[in-house]
Amino acid sequence: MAMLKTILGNLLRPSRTRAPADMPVVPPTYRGALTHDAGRCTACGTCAFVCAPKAIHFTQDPGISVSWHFFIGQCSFCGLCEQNCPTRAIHLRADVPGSTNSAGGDGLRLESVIHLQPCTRCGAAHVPLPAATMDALWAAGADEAERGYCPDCRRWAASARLRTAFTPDGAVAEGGRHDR
Amino acid sequence: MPYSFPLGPYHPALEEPFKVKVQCKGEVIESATVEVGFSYRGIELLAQKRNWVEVITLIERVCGICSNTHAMTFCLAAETIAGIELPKRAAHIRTIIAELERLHSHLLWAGVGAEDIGFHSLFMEVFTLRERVMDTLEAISGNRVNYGMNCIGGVLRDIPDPAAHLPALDALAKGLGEVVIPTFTQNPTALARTRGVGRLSREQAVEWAVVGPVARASGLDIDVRKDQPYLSYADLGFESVVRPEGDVQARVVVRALEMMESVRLIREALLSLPPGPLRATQGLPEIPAGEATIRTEAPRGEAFYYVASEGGASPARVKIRTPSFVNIPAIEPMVMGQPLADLSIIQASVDPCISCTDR
Amino acid sequence: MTADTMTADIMTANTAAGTAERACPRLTEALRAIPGVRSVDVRNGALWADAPLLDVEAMAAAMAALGIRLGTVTAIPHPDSAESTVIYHYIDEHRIINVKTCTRNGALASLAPRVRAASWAEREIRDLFAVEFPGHPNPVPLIRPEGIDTATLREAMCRPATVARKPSSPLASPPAPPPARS
Repeated sequence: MAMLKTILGNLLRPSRTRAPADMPVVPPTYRGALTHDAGRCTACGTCAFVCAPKAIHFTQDPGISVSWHFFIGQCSFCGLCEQNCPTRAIHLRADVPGSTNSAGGDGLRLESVIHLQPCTRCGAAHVPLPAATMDALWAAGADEAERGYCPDCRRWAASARLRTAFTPDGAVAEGGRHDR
Repeated sequence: MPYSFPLGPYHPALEEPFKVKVQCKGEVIESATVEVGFSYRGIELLAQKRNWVEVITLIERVCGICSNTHAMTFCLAAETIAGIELPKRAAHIRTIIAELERLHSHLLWAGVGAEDIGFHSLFMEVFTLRERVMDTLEAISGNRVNYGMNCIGGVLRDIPDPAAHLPALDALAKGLGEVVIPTFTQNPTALARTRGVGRLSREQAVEWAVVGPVARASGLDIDVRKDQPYLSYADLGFESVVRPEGDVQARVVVRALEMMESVRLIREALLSLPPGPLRATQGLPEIPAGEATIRTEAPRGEAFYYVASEGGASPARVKIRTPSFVNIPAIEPMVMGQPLADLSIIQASVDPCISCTDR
Repeated sequence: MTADTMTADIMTANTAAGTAERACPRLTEALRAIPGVRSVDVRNGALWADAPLLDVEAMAAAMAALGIRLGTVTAIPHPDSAESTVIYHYIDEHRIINVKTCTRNGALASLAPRVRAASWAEREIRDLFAVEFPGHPNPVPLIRPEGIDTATLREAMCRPATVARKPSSPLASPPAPPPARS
């Protein structure tokens, strides 16, 4: 009886083999092709730190640029780089990456160059903040000069403001250079 | 005339390499020796050379089928050392993923088992059902295997719309109840190949210290989910499935009925998903010095982890005892006195996972 | 006291002396009676017995009498000597009982003649860390290919790992080659 039921069921429904156009729905959470936004990257190194197969690494042209490198042949698509990126510069898009992902070395390689800027105060080369972040931070017409500061000088400027608040007589010496 | 017959390491029935060397007299197997170690990767050593974030990705790859179990058990061990209390929502999500994984593993097994007894149409039915489970896992985690759901202190991905996954569960329960379970338990072909085959008595099960469905099919009522509840199993309630017969048929039935219980657990967990954070900690984990032993119920039985930390950037020792490591040796008493033709289904009935065993 | 509340007790108990007795007095007493056991306490939800000079066979007999199965055996090689820490993990279904001992001259009596579950565990430890288990009925390699020496992992596992504790920006230091991994 079960067999008759199965045969009838099979006669009444279409083929279960999918046609090429009838692709399964790719869920929006799908961990596919990896993208990197150099404009948001601060070269903090977190993605390389959490990447178990070491598919991500950095190289640098001292004083000029830092390059983010990705090799698909080593990627395990765990998504930890995306999960841990503090500035959300990395995304695993829901489309399928290129099929040549041989670990032999001929797979897709991505390189994303992050250009450095000299600090307007101390001259140290640093990764500028993303434009949107800068607009958010200095929107209230605060010290515009700080826009070009390196992270160390930003920290110095912030602590200088704090000290001024404590000792309003302007006792802060201009000299206070941070150690590099 | 006695002869010896090597089955493997490149296996006619399984995808992974392991070898059963049998001594036969005529058609009957007189003794068997199991050899493993063909896919040894040294994961326990590699785990000591990775930081606490990378090591989860590594450990998830101990096994291709029960990958989540390994990552989850490791995270539970690290959380125990660090004294991190898992948020309720994270515990529920981990339970859902663990039970979905059990479903996909048992369905994979049922398909392979059907294939091993030459029942191809049942294999097709089973794998159609399994695809629903894989789709659900993919929809939640973004991947069909190696879900990457676990981090120390919680889970990385949420289930924003739990109700969306209920239709798949309904289809699964229907398929299991109407096709898979009746076929395995009533179809004469399936019964002829499984009933009374590859018996492991209760005494033998105790002696060989088997775990999981193999132990429960031999009348041993052991299941970590019931005996030492972890995650949300205490909240959701859990009924273990035990059969006294100890043959291949009993192992099939235990797995089949367990799947129904898994469907129930997933449904209840989805419906009662508590609100709250996904992670107890933020940022990169810091694990103080200490050691912990954790067991969880993987699809194949009890997975055991010993994790030691010296407060450093990486674990000091990770010992992995997978369920297959204790179940595979028990193939030796199971095949004794059985026809050579049943060797394939008997060793498949253990659901051996070789990557787990070798690590 | 039911098994469930007992487990809950263990889960919440701290390491203060006496918690082991309160959590499961009979088991603690049986563990203390094994020759070589120095102390028994509850840590991280499991019973831990410390016994550097453990009589391994007496432990196996005591556990068999209690009907507790051997889960597995862990070995941790010592970097400064040929000895290893060996932990026997017993499982009584409601809790894990860990008995920690140490090899003597790189060896420990084998449990395999009486405990089936010890056989593969001991063979694996011999392959990876060169701990000998005299008395093992079938001391052939388990995961080591024939012709490869024992102690496959011993040296590599003893070597301290060079793992960074925190992410480091490529800008923070002059570019250095990534540390070689073993």
